Amino acid sequence: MAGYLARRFVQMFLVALVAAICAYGMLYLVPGGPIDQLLAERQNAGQNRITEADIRRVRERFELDIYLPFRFTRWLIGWPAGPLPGGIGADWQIGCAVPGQVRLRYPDGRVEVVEEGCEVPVTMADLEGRKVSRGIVFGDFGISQVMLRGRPVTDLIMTRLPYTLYLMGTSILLSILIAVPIGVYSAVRQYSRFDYIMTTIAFIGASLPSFVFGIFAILLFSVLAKNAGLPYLPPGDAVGVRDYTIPLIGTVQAGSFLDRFLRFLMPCGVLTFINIAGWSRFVRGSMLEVLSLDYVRTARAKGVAERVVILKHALRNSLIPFVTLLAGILVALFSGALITETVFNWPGIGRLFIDALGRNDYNVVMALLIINVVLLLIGILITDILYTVVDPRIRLT
Amino acid sequence: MATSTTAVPLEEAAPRRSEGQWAIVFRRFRRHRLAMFCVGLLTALLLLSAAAPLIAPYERDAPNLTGRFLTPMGRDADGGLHILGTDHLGRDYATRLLYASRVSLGTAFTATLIASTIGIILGMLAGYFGGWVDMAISRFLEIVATFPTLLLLLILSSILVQNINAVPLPAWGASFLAFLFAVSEREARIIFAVILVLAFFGWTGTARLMRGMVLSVRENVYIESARALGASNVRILFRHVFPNALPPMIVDFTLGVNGTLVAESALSFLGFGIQDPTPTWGNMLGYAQSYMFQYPWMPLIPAMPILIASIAINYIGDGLRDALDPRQRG
Amino acid sequence: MATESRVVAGAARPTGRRGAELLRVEGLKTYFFTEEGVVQAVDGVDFILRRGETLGIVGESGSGKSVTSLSIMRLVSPPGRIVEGKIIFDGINLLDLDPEEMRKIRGDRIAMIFQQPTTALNPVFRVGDQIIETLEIHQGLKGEEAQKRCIELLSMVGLPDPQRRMRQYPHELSGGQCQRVMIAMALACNPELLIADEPTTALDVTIQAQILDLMRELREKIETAIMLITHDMGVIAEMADSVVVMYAGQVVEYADVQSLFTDPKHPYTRGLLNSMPVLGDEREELEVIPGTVPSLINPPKGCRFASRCSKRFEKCDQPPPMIELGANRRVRCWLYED
Repeated sequence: MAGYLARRFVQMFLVALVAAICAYGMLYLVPGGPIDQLLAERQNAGQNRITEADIRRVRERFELDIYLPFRFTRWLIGWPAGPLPGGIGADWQIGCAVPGQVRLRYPDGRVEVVEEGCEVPVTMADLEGRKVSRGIVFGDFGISQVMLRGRPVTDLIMTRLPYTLYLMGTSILLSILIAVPIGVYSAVRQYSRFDYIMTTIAFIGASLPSFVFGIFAILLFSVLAKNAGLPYLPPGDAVGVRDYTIPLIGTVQAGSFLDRFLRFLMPCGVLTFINIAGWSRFVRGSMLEVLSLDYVRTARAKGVAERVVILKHALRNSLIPFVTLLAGILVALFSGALITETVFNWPGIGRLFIDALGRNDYNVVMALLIINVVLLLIGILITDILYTVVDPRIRLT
Repeated sequence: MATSTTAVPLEEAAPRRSEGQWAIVFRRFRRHRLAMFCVGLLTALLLLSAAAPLIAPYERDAPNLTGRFLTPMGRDADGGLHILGTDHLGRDYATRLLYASRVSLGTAFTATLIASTIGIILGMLAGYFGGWVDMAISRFLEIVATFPTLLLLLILSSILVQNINAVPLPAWGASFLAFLFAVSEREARIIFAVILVLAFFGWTGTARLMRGMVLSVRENVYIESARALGASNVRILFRHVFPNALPPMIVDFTLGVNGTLVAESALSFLGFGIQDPTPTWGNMLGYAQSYMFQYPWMPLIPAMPILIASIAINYIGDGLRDALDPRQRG
Repeated sequence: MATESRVVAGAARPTGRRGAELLRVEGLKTYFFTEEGVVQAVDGVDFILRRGETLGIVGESGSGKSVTSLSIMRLVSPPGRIVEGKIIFDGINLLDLDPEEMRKIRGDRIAMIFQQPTTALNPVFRVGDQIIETLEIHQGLKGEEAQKRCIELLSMVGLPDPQRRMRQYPHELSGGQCQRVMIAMALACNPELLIADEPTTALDVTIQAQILDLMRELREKIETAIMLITHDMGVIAEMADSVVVMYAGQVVEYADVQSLFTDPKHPYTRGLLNSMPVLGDEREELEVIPGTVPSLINPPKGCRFASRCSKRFEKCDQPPPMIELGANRRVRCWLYED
């Protein structure tokens, strides 16, 4: 067991590292990137012409003035943060603050400015005094470059995490509690009216994208209900900023428990519905398969009561594949539902990812990505261990 | 018991599917009423999107600031009728929806086609050759499976869409896609970027399925006998393995199209996919969301085709599964 | 061993006179209502099984023998349904019982073992617990008492080291061992009727012989009537007292085992016997019955075997009646009319 775990952890570390390198490379190797975007934004905002100093500042903020391999190691393990002990390598060039420019004159008279060489190099000594993370390997995700202007990414995540945790936690719990009985009952009463209705709803629920659901929910419960003078639900955000009045319920104070609860209902409902649709189908299919197996017939032939046949003999077996789905739950709990959070403007981690990506806050994007990969890997490990608990045929090897 | 114990003669399990068998499949599929109806719906959508440039009543991007947010059947200041109304820039909704269908459905089909092709080839190689080929492909599959797909999809898409010059597409490809989607070449590059991203993340399931199919088919006796008769690897792959693996692949492809369609809509909805002015169902819905409180009908118009296409494709997939492999019911 | 266990269980039941009628099946029809049509899997089956007797039911796959046994247990699952007939067990028509009453009979008075011992046991429970479950349901045995009885049963079926075995999971046992567990489970409550559906088909030849020996041995000890379903005439010859031959959902011949083997009447029975290898046989090739079992969705109007029968004549277009040839001899064939 210890050996197995050790082997798994090494594997997991390697996979996470590969993912980190791929994602980091993807973000930074593509030409253009954050600096162009930022400069374009400024220009659009009607600010003054961008000066050389502006460019330098932005480059420094994104550490674009440090060569990619060093940028990556600084992000990964917080090194190099200055000259080596004893001042060795203080003058080693590890980046370039201002690229050199060369004018190319083509034979046809065209002139083009090409970046070539380096005008102002960055050395190890220059790194001293710069903010640097301890490295994500040691749990420091660095600073938020855009959204919080230099404050740690961790702060940002911690402000968003509670919202995601309670939204996802509630909906996942509700989904399991509802989906499993529905799936089981559908399978036991196969081809009954209940089964027919549930499978149709689940089919539609599972084939539709979540944002379409979200928007329909807002249309129905917020817009139409409000226009019709019925009690309605607030359409977005986790906490209101102004008091509002709902027919039959009365005035809801912004920030009150009722306010939070009402705003929680729709995103939670949509997520729960989507999960139920998928999971009840899964449980039904797996249950049907198990119900047709020999040992279920044996149990009946022994005179086991039908209820016990289903709840003891069949359910236990049919939930074995369900364990696989649990691998994703850990990730879902942390990273939330990207699309649903966005539709309902829910200030969770999923929404944070979209915002960070939209604003090129790469440290935030990378942090969330890495956390996701690691949690998924841990989820898979837990699943594999759980498998051996629920299915005696499986051994860890 | 008695119903299912009829032994299958060896000839029936042989790879060559005679025309008669496809006729049986077709007959079985036709019995699935709902699936037939869905085929009709999807065909109608495809025909409409194919004919978009011909039947669209207005110019796709022509703004009309005097006629913004017109209700369906509303008329603008010049008396022009807008069957589905206009958007926030006064562009004709019906026109944009037609073009959007072309882009959305086209993207979904193209991306799935690419993804399936990659998946089928890699899965076949892994399953058939085994050994280190299988090792390499399977390991890669495992690693990709641990990636948070949606996040990477968003990252890659946002990068590529911001830097369309980085999209590896030759000029002839761009003009072909521009023709296919009825868009400009610049737009075609963005669409291609999104197709690439979707295809890149869409092939793993197919590869895994194909690998499993090949492994099980390979175990069968007739491959042994084909090899004994001196058939070459390639010949065995295409004459024996492929036809047997085809039925589940068709189902996989159908459901894959829905997956890609939803993924593209989500990307575009969130603003990281195909960008305005190129219309897609997803980005039209994204814009409509901002105005839904004043104009509640707006999101319904692009949401409907997503709904219809998505459910229709899934029902078709379901019907196909029943028709192609009646044992896998449930 | 068995006598000891009876004392422990304290459940010796009034077994009645050996040779008295235990089970009478009359006009049983079990149909499957599928999309392709109604499959007449069992179409008018009659037979009698006496206490202490072993009745063999023989036929090809698809002849309805398994469905017959499941019908007796009332375990036919949809789309199958018993549409007609009577199953009289010890004077009661099982088809009249409500599900709860039927459940109490299953595993207690009528037990069943199946073809695939490895899949017939639930993979996630220890084999001991699966046996104890039966004891708990029907005899209310719990805890140590149940464990003790379980160990007895396991040693009765010849599993060495039963204390250890009962804590193992089915996948840790071999096919033969699993079948022994199944038999122990079936005999846990000393049933009056044991239905064995192809109990040896899935096993290796040597294991087959061991299991058959075990069943014969236990039959003597427990005095259970056995309904043995098989397609193997060899197993019939070794085990059965009387035999029902089934073809396409119908009984085509009924006889005691001696007469059946020495003087088979129905052309199908003859075919079956001729296709059986016999040690020291002079024949170059075994005979094969040409053709296949007809579709049970639209079975032929006349004799169902006619299309494969070498002795067919005009009359075979009419459905043949069951013809009595003696006290314990019946055959469904026009050849034996009066």
